[in-house]
Amino acid sequence: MQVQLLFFARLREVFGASRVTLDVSDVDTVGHLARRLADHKPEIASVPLRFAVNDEFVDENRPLRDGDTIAVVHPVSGG
Amino acid sequence: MLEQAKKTAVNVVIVERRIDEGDTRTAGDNGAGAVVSFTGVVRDNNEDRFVEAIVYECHESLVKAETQRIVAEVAGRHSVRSVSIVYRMGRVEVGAASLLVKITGAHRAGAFAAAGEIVDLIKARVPIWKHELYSDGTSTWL
Repeated sequence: MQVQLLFFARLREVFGASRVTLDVSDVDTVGHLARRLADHKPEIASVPLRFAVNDEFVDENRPLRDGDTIAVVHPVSGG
Repeated sequence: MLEQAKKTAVNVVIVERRIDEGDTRTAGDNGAGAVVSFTGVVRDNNEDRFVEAIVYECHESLVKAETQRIVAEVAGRHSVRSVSIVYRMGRVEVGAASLLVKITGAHRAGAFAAAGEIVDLIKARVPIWKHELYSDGTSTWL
């Protein structure tokens, strides 16, 4: 099962790409994906990430589906 | 009520150039007795550092979808006739506008209240990131 991840701003620099295709056959939910990303890049482990699928924010229990495009949204600070 | 029967008109635009007053669409509504607008401008300092410009970046389709949801929420609480929002992406110099929110309503109370709430929610929820460029040549993501 494959999904596409979209990264922006600082996360794009951390992951070195704005769009990544990932094989997630062993990852079942968005929350599981978040933990996997933090394992891969420990520097983001403390960053509270949100995830959006089809332009809608989803919670961590949302199952991953083949072909999902998932935006990884980190906090926006400042006013 | 006549004013509540009319659905709020919503217009969300993302540009990569100077924001123009004409980017909003509020003309032609004779039922609007109040027009409230907010302009967010890049200021020359942040946390004791001299700012030269900010480079804005966003997830465009998510920005539009989340903004529509915010407007729908706020329009459910206040009587407004139209909401027009313009976001500017890319490099924005000090003194230039990065956000324009314009709201029309039958009366000023609803328009003022809606404007404040919409801007607060945009800041909190809409995925727009800022890369702040300083006059000493350094920069940081906010």
